[in-house]
Amino acid sequence: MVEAKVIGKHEIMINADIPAPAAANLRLVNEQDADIPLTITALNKKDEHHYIATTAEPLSATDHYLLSSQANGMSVTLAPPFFSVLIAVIISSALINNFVFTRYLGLCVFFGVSRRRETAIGMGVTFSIVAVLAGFLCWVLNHFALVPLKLGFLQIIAFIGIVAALVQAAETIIKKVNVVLYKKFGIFLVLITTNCIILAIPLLNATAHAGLWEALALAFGSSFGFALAMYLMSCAREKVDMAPVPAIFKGLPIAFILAGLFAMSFLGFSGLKFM
Amino acid sequence: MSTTSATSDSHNCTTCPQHAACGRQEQKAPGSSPPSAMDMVKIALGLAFACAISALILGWVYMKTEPVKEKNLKAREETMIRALLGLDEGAKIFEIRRYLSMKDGRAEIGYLTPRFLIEFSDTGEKIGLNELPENLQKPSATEDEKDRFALEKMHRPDRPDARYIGRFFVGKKDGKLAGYIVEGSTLGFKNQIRFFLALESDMTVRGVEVVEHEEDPGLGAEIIQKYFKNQFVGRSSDTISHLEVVREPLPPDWRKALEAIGEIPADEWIGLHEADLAKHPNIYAITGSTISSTAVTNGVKRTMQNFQRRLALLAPYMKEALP
Amino acid sequence: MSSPSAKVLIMRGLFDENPVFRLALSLCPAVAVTTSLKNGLLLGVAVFCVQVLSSVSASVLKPFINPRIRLPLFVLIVALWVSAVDMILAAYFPAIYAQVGLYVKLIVAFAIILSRMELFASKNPIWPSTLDGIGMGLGFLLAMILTGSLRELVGSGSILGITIIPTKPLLLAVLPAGGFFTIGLIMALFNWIDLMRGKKLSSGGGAHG
Repeated sequence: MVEAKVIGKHEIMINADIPAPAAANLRLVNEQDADIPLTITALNKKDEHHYIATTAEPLSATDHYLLSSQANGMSVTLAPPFFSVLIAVIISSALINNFVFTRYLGLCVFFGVSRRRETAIGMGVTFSIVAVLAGFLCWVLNHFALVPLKLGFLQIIAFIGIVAALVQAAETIIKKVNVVLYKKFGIFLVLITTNCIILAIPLLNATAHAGLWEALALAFGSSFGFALAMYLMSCAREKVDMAPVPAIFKGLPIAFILAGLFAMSFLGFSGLKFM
Repeated sequence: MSTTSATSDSHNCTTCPQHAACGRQEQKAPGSSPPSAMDMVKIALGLAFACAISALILGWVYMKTEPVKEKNLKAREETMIRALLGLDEGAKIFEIRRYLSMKDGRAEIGYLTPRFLIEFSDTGEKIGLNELPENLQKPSATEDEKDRFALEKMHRPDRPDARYIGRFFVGKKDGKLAGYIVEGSTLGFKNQIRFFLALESDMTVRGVEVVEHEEDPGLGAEIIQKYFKNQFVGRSSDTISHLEVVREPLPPDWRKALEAIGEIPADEWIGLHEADLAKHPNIYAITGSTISSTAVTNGVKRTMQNFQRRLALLAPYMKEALP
Repeated sequence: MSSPSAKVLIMRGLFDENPVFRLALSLCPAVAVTTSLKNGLLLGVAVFCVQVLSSVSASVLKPFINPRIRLPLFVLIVALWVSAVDMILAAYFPAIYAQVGLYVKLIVAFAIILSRMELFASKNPIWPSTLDGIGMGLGFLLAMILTGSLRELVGSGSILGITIIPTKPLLLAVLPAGGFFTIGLIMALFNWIDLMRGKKLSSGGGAHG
């Protein structure tokens, strides 16, 4: 079994025995430009089963590469590990591209429900659950029906239909099953339909042709980011309610200024790089 | 005032539509017994009917707007290409699309020119040449039709994953080569930046035009400004490969010179400013957006390098491949 | 109910119940795409069309709608018009559409449109509903123009891409955070105008009291 991974800007680690003729015929390409071989300047034996190949061109740990040898038919793909891709998607959608503070989505609900910490948490939790479910259903519908049938122009209607149906169903079920839970979270359920984030997630997934796991990761990350934003905001607003704010700024105007300050601090995440 | 405004005044307004909605549902739910089977059928039929009608209307709008959309996108692209190469309406522009199919780490590359589909192995040997059917040689042939043809030809039973991966354009004026436009992309601050790189026939850069980007307005989005993108103009392929991004302020006179490109055609400008180009061998990064600046510079470098190698492969067939 | 006059209906949407600055609905695009006036205008026009068309449709169709499925049908109507407007904009304004595309699609989740259909159009005849839609649509458009031109002028020193101030006075205005600040300030301005006109501020300012 041959394994290989990118370990440095110009270095690849290969876990395998490479017979001499194969070493001379190694071919490394970036999957996107598979017709252009990269130059391997050196191949050093590290120990019995490990080799380190050095390339002239810079490599990136986030890209996909193919390593093959024409001499012995060896072929191996170098891809970033599955879980680190998912974690990168989650962190980037929750912090770096936080929907509320950098893409400005879901603001109506964000400002409406972030006055009290309790409601903020309730909304955050309810929203996260529904968003992941809706993200999953929309992905399935898009992948198995809209794309193969070339019905992309029905995307908006189909997705809002799924969201509305899901919210309605969840409401009915919770009402029947657990009244206490319904009293606590029922109102948030209804509000979800007008939260644009719930629609933005499947639309972004559809544009990016995301795979199932990436789609779910985006749904989870973005709704977690939304919940986080709600929680932070509610904490700040509870404090500001006590503060002597100029009369014309009371209420929403000052909340907007607060959101602006949060947005500035979230800008600090944007240099963050993974892997 | 009407009752409407009274309603919105008395409620917390964010919940207004929902409040009204759920209030009504609650009123009804306990009052009316669950709908009878007949009602349910009626409701289901009504909804299904409404959905069908909407889908039909949208289908009709789609059929009407889709051709216009494609035409406008194409027209926009073509205007951009002509402007970049400094060509008038009389000159001809040909698109060359590239396809890739992989198996066991071995690649096969197909180039779809206006007349032929030429296939190469990954070692650069020609392994196939197919003439395009009559209807695909016409300018009216859509990208979809071309892709279908190329993928079908390259779609050997043992290589099920052939796909389109990129393209470039060749400009010809009075039968002579007038330059190339290569489409490239690079990962910017958040998402992909797609750009056109315009080259003279001797591989000197004529211009860079960002086609699509999602950089932040005021910061990374400045890559579309003349003072940044024109810094590549007039560089030879060799200088491009050694370009570096420096975090120094852009000298004002150099900025002024860069912003003049467009008013002066690029080739004339290059002649006028050879000394300046030597004086400013590097790319000045946009203030506060070094990542975006570096991304574009690296993208241009890579695109240039890859294009030269591809062109070397294609060159012997170029003459007959273009009508 | 006696129908209020056309002027009242339209002015209500523009000022007293301005969807963005007063009701704090449909905020997402108001902050997101107003980095320049051009983007703001395009989205403002899109919302205007969807609002008017949806209000009219709801008013026309109300006799045929089973009350049980009124809301799903309203959502369907909004989604229909949004999709149509989306496709038309994509076809005829590809350059600007590339920048605001996602937000045009998201009009479908705007609370303001559904709320006008539910609260006004479903109870009123066609003409007042049209006026109400026009008023709300114009109110949104006004908000987009105001925010867009302010941010573009302060942030980039230009209006509609034409340079007015040679430097960039305050880059912050076009940055993500700037949108929040600008809207907050305009909301406060609306409150201040109320105060000057001798009206009492609604408790807590804004609608959220």
